[in-house]
Amino acid sequence: MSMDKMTRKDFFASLGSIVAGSTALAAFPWLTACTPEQDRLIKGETARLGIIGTGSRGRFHLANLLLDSSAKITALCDDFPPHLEEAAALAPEARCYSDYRKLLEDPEVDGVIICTPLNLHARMTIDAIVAGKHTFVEKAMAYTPEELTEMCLAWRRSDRVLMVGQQRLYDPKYVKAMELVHGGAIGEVVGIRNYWYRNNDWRREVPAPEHERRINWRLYSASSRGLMTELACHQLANGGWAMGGIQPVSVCGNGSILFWKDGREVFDNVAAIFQYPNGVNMTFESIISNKHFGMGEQILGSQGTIDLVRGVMYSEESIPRSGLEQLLRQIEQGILSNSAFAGTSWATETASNDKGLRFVDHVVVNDGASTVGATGDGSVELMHAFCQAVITGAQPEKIVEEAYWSTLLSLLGDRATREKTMLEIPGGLPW
Amino acid sequence: MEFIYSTKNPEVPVAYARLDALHTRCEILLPRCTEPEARAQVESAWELVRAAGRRYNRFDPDSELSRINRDAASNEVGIDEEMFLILELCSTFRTATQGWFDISAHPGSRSDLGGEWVLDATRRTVRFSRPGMSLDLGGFAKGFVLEQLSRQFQPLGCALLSLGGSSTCGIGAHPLGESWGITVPHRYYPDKTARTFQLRDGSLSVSGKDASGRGHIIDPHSGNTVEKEGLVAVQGRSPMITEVLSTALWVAPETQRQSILSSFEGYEAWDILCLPDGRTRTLKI
Repeated sequence: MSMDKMTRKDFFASLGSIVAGSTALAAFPWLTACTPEQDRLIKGETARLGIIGTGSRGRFHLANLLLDSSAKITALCDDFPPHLEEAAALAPEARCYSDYRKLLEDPEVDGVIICTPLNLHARMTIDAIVAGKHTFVEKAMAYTPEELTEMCLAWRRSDRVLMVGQQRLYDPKYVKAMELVHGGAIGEVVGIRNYWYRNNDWRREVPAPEHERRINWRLYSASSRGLMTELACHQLANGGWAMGGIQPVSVCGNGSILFWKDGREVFDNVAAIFQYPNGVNMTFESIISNKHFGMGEQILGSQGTIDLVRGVMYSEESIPRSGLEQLLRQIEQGILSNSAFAGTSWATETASNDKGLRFVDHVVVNDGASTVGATGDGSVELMHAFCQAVITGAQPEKIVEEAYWSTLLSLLGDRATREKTMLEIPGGLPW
Repeated sequence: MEFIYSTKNPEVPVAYARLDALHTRCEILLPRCTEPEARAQVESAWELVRAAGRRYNRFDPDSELSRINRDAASNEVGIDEEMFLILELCSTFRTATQGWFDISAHPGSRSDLGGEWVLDATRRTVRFSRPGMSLDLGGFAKGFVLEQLSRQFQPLGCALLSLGGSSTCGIGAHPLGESWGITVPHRYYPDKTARTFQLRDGSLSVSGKDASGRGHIIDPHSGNTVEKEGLVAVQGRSPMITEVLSTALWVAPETQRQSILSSFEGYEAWDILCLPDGRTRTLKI
């Protein structure tokens, strides 16, 4: 996106073209509000927003919101002055606070965006909801399952909007992929693979040693659950979508501090297996001392495989496939895509080197290397959806439920890796 | 031969048909047709393709072209209307491409030695101006057949026709979009795109070395196969003209390409060079 002011039309152009009429909307009900019509209804209105926590992620959202004509940043808060000053330089008209409770008293704040360390999410979210603010909190929602329940119950008691920073919920290619899965394009779902590899120490620069735990809060167990809550939390929703809303019943795992032995307290490599009631396994693996495979999310079916990150579907059939045959399969699935087949002469392709069907055009492949946020990953759309919800006061359907399950699975996955045991996952929602 | 009729997408039923003929894979994609209509259209199309294969195959001693090549140097050879039209068109295209599209080019031939196929419209005959000449319609037949097929499918409003991937014709637009998106893959990295073309009632022809990296197009001036790297893609309304132009522009020296192209209004051409490091250099001619 250019530096020009984004229009609402820009935001949902790609989303709308894929989502419109999609049979997968039943699995993504929060998107039904994200229509150009809805934007026309709120045209000219702005959401007055305060950002609590202006570190890297907070400033990432701030930068996106400054390009959104439906957002007005009225307040900023951080108890670390350098971060607050950096944010204030981007939004000079916003009032600045060092205590989030003061920001919550600001009458010119309709909604708050909480981008603080994980252990602060529950308290700040509950306080914000009680203060009457519509609230967006970064993922994972909570530091413990108990806090997670408290947050959800506080939200249920209020009439405020609660949204969570899981940008995949607004990434069009996931909608299209799930439409293919639910339509039987890959047969029966037999496995779900998620992985996220990086090769960096996951550290931010610290101006002085006394700020180490504040700046690098992700590395310490008092403030973070490590790779499970920071990375797996994004990917574990894939299972629920692919399995038609059914959640896993158990999780086992393992992890260790293998390579980055620098005083950190959370694992630098983890592997967890979640099992669904019908026996399907969903895996998550993360290693941050090897980046070769980058980030991957795959739905494995008895007749095909969907690569969610690249937006490509592969067939198990060992039939030669020309460009026109690929086009036939795409039309069968309602996919509009450019077909790779022009060339100086025709050559057979076999399943062993099947290039697959690209089911969305213009896919931005995120390699997972960024520790802040990636272009085209749904973050922009997610922020705009929050602005929309703040203006209308309408809670996007099922979005808290999605966040609840993603957070619960990542928290129990973390516990399983730390205790090296198998845990049962409680069914049902706490409300 | 293969025929598939799919109603998996109930809003867009689609037929796919394939025939190995004209030394290549001929394919038809026909959306929004009933199955009986699609079968009838495909059968009619394949009849046309098979007939062209028999008629223009210079390796078949019984083909009309073989008869011409055998006898036209010593006698006037009587030919039917379609063959006369083809030879007339090829003569016109040779002139319009400044000699770079030439059906009399063959290994070892040299255009500077002269050589014409002389047509007599009154008697509908052809005669070669010198011994040793022969005609090869391989570089023209695909475009000519595709031109005929495009006229057959035009009334249906939506179809995609491909002869070997090097000659493609889009009737109307993709049933789910505004055009047919045709991607030329990167030569060294087939997963990457060298260039994408959008066809809507238009055609695309691609010329260059074949997939195995061998040159197969003859330079009419030297009689040698053209072995340079890269390919030429031509987009425009008529599949016959895009086929002729892509061949001529591939063979012609860079200094003459622009003037050749300027004789054909409404046609665009690109020089596409795929590099071993994954990059693509594209130059609009």
